[in-house]
Amino acid sequence: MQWTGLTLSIGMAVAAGLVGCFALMRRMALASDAMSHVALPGIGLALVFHFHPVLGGLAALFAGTLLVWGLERQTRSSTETVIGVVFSLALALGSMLATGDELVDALLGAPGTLGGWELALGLAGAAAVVAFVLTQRNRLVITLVSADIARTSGIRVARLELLFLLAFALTVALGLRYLGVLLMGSLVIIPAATAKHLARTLDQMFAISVGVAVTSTLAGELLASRLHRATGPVIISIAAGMFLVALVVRRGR
Amino acid sequence: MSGALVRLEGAAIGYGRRPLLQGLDLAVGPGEFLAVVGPNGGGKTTLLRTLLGAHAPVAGRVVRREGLRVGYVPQREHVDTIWPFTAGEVTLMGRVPVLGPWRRPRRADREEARRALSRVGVEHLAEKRFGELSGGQRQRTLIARALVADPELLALDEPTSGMDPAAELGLMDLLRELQRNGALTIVMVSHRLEAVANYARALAFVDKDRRLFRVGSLDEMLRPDALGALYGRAVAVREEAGRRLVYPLSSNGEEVLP
Repeated sequence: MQWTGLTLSIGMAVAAGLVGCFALMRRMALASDAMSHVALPGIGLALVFHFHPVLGGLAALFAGTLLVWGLERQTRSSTETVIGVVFSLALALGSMLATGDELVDALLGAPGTLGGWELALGLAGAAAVVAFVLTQRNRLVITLVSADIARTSGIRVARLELLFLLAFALTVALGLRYLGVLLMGSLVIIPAATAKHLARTLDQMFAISVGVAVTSTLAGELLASRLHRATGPVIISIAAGMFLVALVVRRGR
Repeated sequence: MSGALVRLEGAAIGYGRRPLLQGLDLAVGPGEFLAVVGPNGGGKTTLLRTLLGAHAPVAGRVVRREGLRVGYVPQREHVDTIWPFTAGEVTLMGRVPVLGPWRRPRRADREEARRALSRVGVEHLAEKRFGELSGGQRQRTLIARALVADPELLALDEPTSGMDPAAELGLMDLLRELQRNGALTIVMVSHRLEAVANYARALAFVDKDRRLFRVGSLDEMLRPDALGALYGRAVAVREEAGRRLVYPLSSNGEEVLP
């Protein structure tokens, strides 16, 4: 694998490991997976109008995020409910716009060769997500513990939640090329779920989650090329294997 | 009241556009210990959230003194316990408004958190997971979190809910001590008048179903007419060993033990 691809996949994995901890704490485990499907109509439109699918996916994810955030605030429905509705609509639209092999690539990822601008844009996106999580970590945690504590501490909860959802959407977009719409949500959630079983403190949870995401991504890429299999499913299988090992380790404690 | 830390002026509280209670006037002055009492679902928490600015009033005004430092202790059932927070980490969260987004907690912040845990008597639990603590220990940790930002106003929502009588007394003693020694103003929500009658200096009775909102000093509010409005039946107040006991009376005039 090229060093450009390797660098970007490490950036994507670090972002996924960090964002996943907060997604899990917000009880968005299933919603995370569904949210990644919101990229589909954008990828479909990109294919129809011949521009880069990841840019189409990113635009759709951002639009979907704003829609989810707005509906959540207006209807007082849970994130899971709103994402469920938006996800179904996105899947229907995406399936109409993309067909055949294009749809399979969008769903399962097709790494191919990375251009210079793609690498730069991807790394900038990963750096933005990591910087957001590291600087807003304490505020995000307080908001999760109690939104009222956050509000009385002067934290603008609605704005912070929107920023988190945008960071989440950006993380999903980073992985579209490697893992596709179907599997990227899994790389956000499985490492965080593994970390939750092993960690005693928040710092440990972040470290373990990032470690699992990066290890499974690197090992997956290495193994996939040797086994001549698609990269995404191998990465997720390794991550899921680590989750199962964590369950056994936890039981043994 | 001039010099009030927080004031409701003709406020209507509620959700959406539907008010639960309207025309509320209330002023909380420095050094006050106000207990907001009423049945479950009566609007107490909505009143507290509106006072603190966590929820906007449907109508009227909420005036808070500029720069007022508030320490809020939510109902502990609303705090997730399955995540890997230690009691020390939960307490340290109280320093976030002081730290801002860029600065990581330093040794001095950790020392403040340790002192806050020590003030509420659970310093030894700093490294223990929050989810592994008993109800009373969690409540004390949440109070430590609120105290670590050096608040002028400490607001607590049902802090003794679900506690056994000994733990309840211990916590109320702690709050009285904090209020007296720490020059704190306390606003506390409770559905049990008996729990707060010997600690608060002022009471607010709140019940949206009876359209009841009444505020006064302890002596004013522990009179039969005010208590009758809260309970909807006759109530006796007795003093035993320096403590006031509140007994709602059954329809045949017998005392119902609190």
